[in-house]
Amino acid sequence: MTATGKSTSAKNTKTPVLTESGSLIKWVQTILTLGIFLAIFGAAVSSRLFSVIRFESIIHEFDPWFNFRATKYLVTHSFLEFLNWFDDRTWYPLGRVTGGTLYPGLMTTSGAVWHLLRRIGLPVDIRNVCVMFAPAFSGITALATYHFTKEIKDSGAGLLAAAFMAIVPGYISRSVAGSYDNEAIAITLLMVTFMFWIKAQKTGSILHATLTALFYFYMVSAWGGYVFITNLIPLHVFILILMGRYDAKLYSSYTTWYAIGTLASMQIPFVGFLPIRSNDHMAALGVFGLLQLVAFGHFVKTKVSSDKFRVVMIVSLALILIVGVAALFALTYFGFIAPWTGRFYSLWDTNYAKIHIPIIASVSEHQPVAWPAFFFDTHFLIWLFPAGVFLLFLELKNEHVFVIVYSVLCSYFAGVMVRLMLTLTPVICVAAAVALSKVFDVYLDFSHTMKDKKVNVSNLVSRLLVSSTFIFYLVLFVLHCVWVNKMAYSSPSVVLPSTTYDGRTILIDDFREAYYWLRLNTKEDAKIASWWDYGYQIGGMADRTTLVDNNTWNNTHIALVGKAMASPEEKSYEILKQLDADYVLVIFGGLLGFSGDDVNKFLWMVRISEGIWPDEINERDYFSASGEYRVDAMASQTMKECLMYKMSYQGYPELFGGKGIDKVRGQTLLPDDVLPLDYFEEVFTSENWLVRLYQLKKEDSEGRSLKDVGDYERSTSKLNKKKNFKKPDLDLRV
Amino acid sequence: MKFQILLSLWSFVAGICMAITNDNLLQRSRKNSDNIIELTDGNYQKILGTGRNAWIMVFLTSSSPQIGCATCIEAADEYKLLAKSWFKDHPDGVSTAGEEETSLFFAISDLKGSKIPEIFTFYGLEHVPRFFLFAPGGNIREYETIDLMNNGGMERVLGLAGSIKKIANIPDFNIYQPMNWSLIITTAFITFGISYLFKRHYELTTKLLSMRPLWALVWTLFVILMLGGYMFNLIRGSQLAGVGKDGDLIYFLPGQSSSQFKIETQITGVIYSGLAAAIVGLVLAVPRLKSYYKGSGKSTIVEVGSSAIFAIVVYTFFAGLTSIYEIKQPGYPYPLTKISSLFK
Repeated sequence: MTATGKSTSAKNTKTPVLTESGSLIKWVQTILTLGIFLAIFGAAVSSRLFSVIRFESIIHEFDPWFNFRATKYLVTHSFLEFLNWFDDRTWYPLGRVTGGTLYPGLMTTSGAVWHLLRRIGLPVDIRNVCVMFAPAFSGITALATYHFTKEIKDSGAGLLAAAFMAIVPGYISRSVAGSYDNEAIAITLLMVTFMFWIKAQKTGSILHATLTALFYFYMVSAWGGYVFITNLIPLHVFILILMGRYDAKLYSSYTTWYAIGTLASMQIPFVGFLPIRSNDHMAALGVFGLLQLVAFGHFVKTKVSSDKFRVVMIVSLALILIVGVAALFALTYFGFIAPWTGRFYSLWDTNYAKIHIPIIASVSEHQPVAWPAFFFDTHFLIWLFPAGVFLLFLELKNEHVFVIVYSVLCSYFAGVMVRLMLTLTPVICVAAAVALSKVFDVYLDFSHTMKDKKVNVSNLVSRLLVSSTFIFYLVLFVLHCVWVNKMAYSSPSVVLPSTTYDGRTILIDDFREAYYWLRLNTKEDAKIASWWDYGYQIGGMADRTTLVDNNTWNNTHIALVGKAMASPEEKSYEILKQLDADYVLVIFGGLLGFSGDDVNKFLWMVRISEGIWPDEINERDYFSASGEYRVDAMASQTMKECLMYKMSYQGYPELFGGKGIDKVRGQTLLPDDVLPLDYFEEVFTSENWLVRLYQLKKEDSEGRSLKDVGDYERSTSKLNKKKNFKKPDLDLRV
Repeated sequence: MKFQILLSLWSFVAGICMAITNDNLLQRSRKNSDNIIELTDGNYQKILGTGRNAWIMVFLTSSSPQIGCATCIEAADEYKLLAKSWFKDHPDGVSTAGEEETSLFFAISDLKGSKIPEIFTFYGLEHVPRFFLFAPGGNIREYETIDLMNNGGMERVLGLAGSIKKIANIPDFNIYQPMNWSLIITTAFITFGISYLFKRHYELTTKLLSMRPLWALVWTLFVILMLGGYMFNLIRGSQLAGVGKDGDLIYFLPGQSSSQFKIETQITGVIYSGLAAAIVGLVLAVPRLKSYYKGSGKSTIVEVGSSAIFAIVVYTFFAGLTSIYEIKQPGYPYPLTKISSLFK
């Protein structure tokens, strides 16, 4: 893989040389370009295969499991059944109108690929189609980036951008094999849409504008992030108008895109009438209207004298602006237009989410980004990027304005939310490629030297010096990318890699062990209560009904589960009985040192349920007297009594013969710290204690409360109660 | 039985005699302009440890530069605002709005120099700032710790006031935010200045506004600021810099790639700007210099020299970037400073 990457970057740097015409040179150029594209495609796909090679062909993480489940449903049912799918196995007892609340683009595409492969006699398992989906599409993204950058500068910059895009970690993070998520296809569509938009506004071609609209429609069907396009294109047009660059090309391309794109996007059931009713989309409509007025103004301008026109123009513009904004407010106030969504607010008012919607703030993807993450994800592109923005600013053609607006907006967004790093990455690649290719235009152009008889040594030396350092950085970039991809972005997070003290790599497979246990040992209609993170995985791998899952559409329902986890047993039992749950699943990382476990997520459960029941749940109660988050003897009484604590640590100190060391929190628990569980009974604990499953006990046949039963049993059988936990064979792990 | 009654009677009488009255506390408060009692080694036992019927809020902090506690300095102003707001509504420190009279006073102990106040050792403090709220009575060992919110400013003041209200059961504790005159004045001044410039030097300002390099510079700097984690600082309210074990300054939060100090934004900002400037120099300045000196004898030396300088600047800054990245991510395999490690 490293070899391919290197050859890509090395070859790229040669292309600017071949600018002379002549049929032989053209042939060589075509073959080279083709070869480079094949190499880029190969690099893009192969650098995303680490996870398959190091682990296995498996769907990753959380959301992909739902997409995978939906895709399976799609290929086993008809398309219409898929659109009408009501899923009664999630969000029990509410259910979810899945067909109407998902973005079907991803599933239909992989369904189509699956059907196509079957037609041509290559019956591939749908799982493998899904696993390999993202790497295959990343190759197409690189191609689209090439064409996009070609419009911005030239094909030399295009090839560099394509090569960057193929292996840049910021994009690989969401498109490794197995990461079967909406983003996998969405970034491809984003770049294709932008490419056609640039072409359309450059030429005014209705064909290109229509293609922009069609790919926009595809994008809408695939990812909620389409709103970014919906706002970026109008913003581009708006700024161009402000700069006085209105022309007929702009008019024809924008109006075509807006009309067709909006109508098409409304065909997606989940989107429906949003494009004309939600504030997220109003900017596009506003610019559409503005463009009509500007066009009319231009028409008037040709008819009347310029002095009169100026006055008319200023007065009417001010009037329109005031009326427009007032109308927007009024319509929003009276409820004709939906206000902005919470995620949108949290982008601008960075404290909004923390105060109003803890569920958005709780998601790790919505955290702000510190600078090392930018470097980690893009290496030396990060400093080429500002240089590229600056250089584009000095030229400032219409299409450059687009790239600049995109860069400025997205660098802000990516700073606020880590997940938007993904949308920033393409523009980093493009701007960096422009900057680098400008450097290469000056310093890597040896055609002059070759032609001249007399060799200008000093000139050659300076060129060689500069270009060789940059080629060295390119090699370093490839090494960095491979290192990052191998290190950080290739773990399926379903199977965890771990190293023993003697250097052997072992896989921790507790999740699948537990989910399979569920699948084999519980009734088919058993309901599993767990925190929402594991909902999709339970649905996909254990095929059991869940109460809440990663589609966080119902905050109250999630808060209810959070309340059950944060309350004392009796109360939790009552809540879970009302929800008709049979089992409770908790993730406990104390033994392994797995820090993403439920005890660490617990404060979010508390916060989210506090948002709904402030009288019953209070975050402060879960901290120790000195205000620390503790789980040992110093933990607060509320903490010790709550269900999550009891379930996580049940029997844990005994495992170590009375001194349980929690490796995540670095605290030591004694047997007396963990209160007994009376309403739940442990049915399964995975090999490394990562997943623990409890069943709700049946109510006592003699009508006693389960606590009384537990107290009674403890008092009678105190002597023979010594539980015998088997300590797993655990080596020291680094 | 009799003995017990006697004892309680005695302690009651003794309590009255020994007790510190509200008037006394008020007097002590008035000593300082901001109505906060200064706790010293001599008086803290008496104020906190003798019978009284007032609540006392104690702020334990350190404004010493050796400790380097940025939060403390923020919190000190907020604490002053808290006390000021309380005494604005209740000049005697007594609230009569509740079912019964409640009085509340504020006290502070600040570790200023190298000498640690006795009260710090008394409570075995390891962290500052801390807020303790002492209930009426006079048990020096009994107090409520009040949480310090993460977000400074008004949010924290309101949070503190809310906690006091809740614990001490005081219904009327309003915060009066001081009018931020400096902000208003600067805004007014800037607005005035800009509009004056615009009116007076219309042509100059329009020329300035339509200057492309200026816009380019502004927005490029904006992008650089964002890439340096500016939003992270803003949202998380990170500290300016850290203090090491030996009291030395740390500019980089070591080993943490998902967190940073404010100063890191500035340092990376300088590095990115330097790199971007060098690239722009390579692309634009070198060819221009070359054509400027064309024909003269200096042409070659200028070309080679300038491009070499820019290339070296790029290398140096990039090496600096990777080496500070190595602090954030220990074990990073490709730092530029150790080229030898690349050929392992």
